[in-house]
Amino acid sequence: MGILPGGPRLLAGPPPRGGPESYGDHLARLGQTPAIGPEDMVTELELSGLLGRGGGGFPVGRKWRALTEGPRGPAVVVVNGAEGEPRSSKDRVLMTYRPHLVLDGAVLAANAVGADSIVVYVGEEHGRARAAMAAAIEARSSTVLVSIRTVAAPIGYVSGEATAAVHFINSGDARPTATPPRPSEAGVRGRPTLVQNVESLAYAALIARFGAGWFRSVGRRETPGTALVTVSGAVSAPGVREIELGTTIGELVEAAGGRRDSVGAVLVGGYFGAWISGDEGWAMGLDPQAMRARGLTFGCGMVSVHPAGACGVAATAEIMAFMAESSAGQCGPCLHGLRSIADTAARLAAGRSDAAAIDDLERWTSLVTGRGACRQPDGAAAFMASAVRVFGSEFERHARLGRCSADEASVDVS
Amino acid sequence: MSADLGWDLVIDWIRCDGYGLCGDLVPDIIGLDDWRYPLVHPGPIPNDRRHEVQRAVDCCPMRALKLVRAGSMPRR
Ligand SMILES: Cc1cc2nc3c(=O)[nH]c(=O)nc-3n(C[C@H](O)[C@H](O)[C@H](O)COP(=O)(O)O)c2cc1C
Ligand code: SF4
Ligand code: SF4
Repeated sequence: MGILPGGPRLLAGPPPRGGPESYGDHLARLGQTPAIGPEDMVTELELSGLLGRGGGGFPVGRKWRALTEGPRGPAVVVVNGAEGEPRSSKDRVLMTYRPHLVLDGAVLAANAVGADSIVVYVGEEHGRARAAMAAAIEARSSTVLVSIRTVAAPIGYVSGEATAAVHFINSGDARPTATPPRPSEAGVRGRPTLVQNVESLAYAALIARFGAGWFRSVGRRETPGTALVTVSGAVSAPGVREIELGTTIGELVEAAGGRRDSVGAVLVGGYFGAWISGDEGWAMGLDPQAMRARGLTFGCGMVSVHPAGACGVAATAEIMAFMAESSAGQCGPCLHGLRSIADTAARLAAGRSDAAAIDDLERWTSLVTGRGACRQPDGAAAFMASAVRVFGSEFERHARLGRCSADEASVDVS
Repeated sequence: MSADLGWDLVIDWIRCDGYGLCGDLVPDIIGLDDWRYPLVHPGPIPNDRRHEVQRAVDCCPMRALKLVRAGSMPRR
């Protein structure tokens, strides 16, 4: 069984290398955006089992349903293409090569939840994706009944968080806001707002055409469908791939030109995700629901291969430094806690610390969880806790001896 | 809905500046973490402590605290 039975879905059609698919090519391949009523659309999405692909994995149908039942008055759809995750590029690949599929999904969402405007929120640094989305909006300007505009999301991990996106669109400040109100209650210009990841919307566009049954016809285990993933690290062919959900990490790594013996550990789900050892990870299926049951997260579909023999403590410290740096700095436990965790991890990595530091790390990771306006501290803490779990003996070695097994390996060969 | 389940303390983390005043007022209910930000002890606040905790809520200089019926709001 290949990693994608039935062939690509989002990335079907002309090879991506050719640049953005034109509106004409998109129409020739898939036809007009289907005229499907709100009730049918939402029902189909609910039946499909599609889960959000921006990181949270929330059922997309349920989210649209809540908006149709929520406060009256025109809503707003925010198309989330911020993609602040450093080792993920699936959203910008999708926007760059299949901009009309994303727009179809946005238009269907607007129709379903009663929105009269769409804001396409794309990471400022993703120049090609922004250009492709802007050109796609321009190409269909005469045919679309809702207003569509683009807003460049400022660089930063937190800019793509739903309340941060709404805050930025409203007032130019990309820091998260306290909830309630959720964006679904009072978002852009105070209106009920649907914030949805670009990949989620593109799948909605296909589900509107081919139905929930088609969507569910692949998927090996609990979660139906396919997904975009980004593979990076110790593989010879990194990049974005579409996979059947449930495909194992081993199959994906091999498809990306990696080998079993080159895998020390794998970071799955993003910087909010978790390390898993190479042994444990190789046979694990990439399935959001099955992963959640194991305390892991599929997140944004990021799979990063940590090479065998490289220092897991240093790799962890580097990511923690990024997470502390990207805190919006407005909630005390996030600001101080992530900084303390990152500094301690860095001292351990440099061999300038002791065993008490590992206790501090474990205490702080539980201390910051759930204590911020957004899930930044929760995500960073889950990541840190997984590092102690997977690289525990390396952490202890650093604390005890001030150096790691990776150093010794390099001494041996020199 | 009855108040028998007790009360939850909801903290607006963006407003809270970590002066630690709340924790000094009802230390057995609101602890303080390493950075003097409030750390509410697990479980709902019983009815007979409501007034003391309400005083801490009223004294918060940043208006960062709110008492709500237990379970009526997500904890963040
Ligand atoms: C710190 C943080 C950063 C986030 N960044 C992004 C992002 O860059 N893109 C995205 O689609 N969702 C991001 N999210 C998730 C959004 O808050 C939101 O759940 C998502 O856009 C909803 O779409 P989905 O249900 O289709 O996934 C982020 C969440 C957090 C807590
Ligand atoms: S939890 Fe952290 S990242 Fe989120 S709003 Fe608060 S300070 Fe900013
Ligand atoms: S009194 Fe208010 S500002 Fe001070 S620590 Fe308590 S909640 Fe935060």
